[in-house]
Amino acid sequence: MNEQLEEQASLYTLGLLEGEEASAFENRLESDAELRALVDQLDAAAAAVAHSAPARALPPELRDRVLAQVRSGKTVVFPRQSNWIPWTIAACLALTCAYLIAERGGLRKRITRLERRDLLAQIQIASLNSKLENAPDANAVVVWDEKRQRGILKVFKLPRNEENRDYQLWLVDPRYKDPVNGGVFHVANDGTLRVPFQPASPVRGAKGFAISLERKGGVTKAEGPIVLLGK
Amino acid sequence: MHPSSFPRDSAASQKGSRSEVRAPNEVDAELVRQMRTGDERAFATFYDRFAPGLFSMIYAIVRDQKESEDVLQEALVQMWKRSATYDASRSSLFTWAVMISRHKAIDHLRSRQRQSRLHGAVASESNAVPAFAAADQADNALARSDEQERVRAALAQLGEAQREAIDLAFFAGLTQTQISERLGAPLGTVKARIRRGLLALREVLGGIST
Repeated sequence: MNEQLEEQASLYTLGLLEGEEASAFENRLESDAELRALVDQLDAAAAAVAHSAPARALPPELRDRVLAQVRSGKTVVFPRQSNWIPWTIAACLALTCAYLIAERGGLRKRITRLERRDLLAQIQIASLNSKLENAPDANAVVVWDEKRQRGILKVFKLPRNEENRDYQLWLVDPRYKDPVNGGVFHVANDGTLRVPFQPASPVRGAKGFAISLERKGGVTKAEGPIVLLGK
Repeated sequence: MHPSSFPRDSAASQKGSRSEVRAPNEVDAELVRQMRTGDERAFATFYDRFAPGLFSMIYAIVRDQKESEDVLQEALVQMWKRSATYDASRSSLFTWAVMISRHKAIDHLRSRQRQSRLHGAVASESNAVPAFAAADQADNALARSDEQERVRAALAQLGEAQREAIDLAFFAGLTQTQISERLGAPLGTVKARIRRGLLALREVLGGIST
């Protein structure tokens, strides 16, 4: 294995690969068993670094708290059923929009290529289009791996958010009353961003994805305006 | 070197040769099998085995007691719910748990950083994160497993520059560019240090068990 691949694998293990480099590496990883094995080995080496953290006493009451949460099966509270209705409508609208964008933007080619690969059969790719009057060309692509419960969000031409606000990704899973939090992010001046994400709760059969503009740090349930939406 | 509260990571020591087929960790696999059936006692065992070490690691990243507790709780519940994603043929339970917890902690750290109030503090915190070898003192009296001792020795064998680069990536959650700026080293040099450091760590850890 050449040094460049070893370097990419090392950076990937520590979460340091970004942008197209990360996408290309992950694509290769899916079909390269030797590379996959190297990443597994480097994961183990990196995990060993955790041993160097100074020991800190674990609060004894935390054990009961965690076990109680596991017992109750509750991780995220979704008390307001009414919130589901607009999101359902939004997800349906996204069906049409996403398809059109995929056709127009050349994503169809990528999707077709990915769908041909059995290893990526579980990958879901969604196009999110703009709901912003001041940025109609803003768009995003979500590459979602349900099996691994992680994905990558790529954003284009999205206006830079104010300092006191964050964009927040949401995944629509019909099993939950409200969309599942996919994490917060902000965009730079050029309006582009590539960021990996993991939802706060397990998502199965995602029906859509949305990005809202929220207060800094994010919220547990969407409160702000939806800026991008798609499926 | 600081004492670690992680248990022995048997699978990590099985990863020596690149061509070697790693034997699955049967203890790990059985524990996860029980967790997948909803066995809360198995999860309690998992908690007792890993939570103390994970908490220490998360605190080294987040540097806040309450937030570290919340991150650990979130990570553990995720592990419980997603125990089906654990593949014993690819990693030890230790590696799996560390990677999930670190990801949560880094996410939390970056989210907090985005709130800007900690911009200044981050620099000092990342300077204060544990250095592999430099902090290796005074804790010998505390009990450690042989494996942990050997892992620490392996970390200490890395060059200072390699340790520093990996340290900033692992605990401070910095990007390549940020690490480069922090160390005052070219980006290519930083990448090379991380590559050499992790590969060396892999080799040293692999050699331990043989």
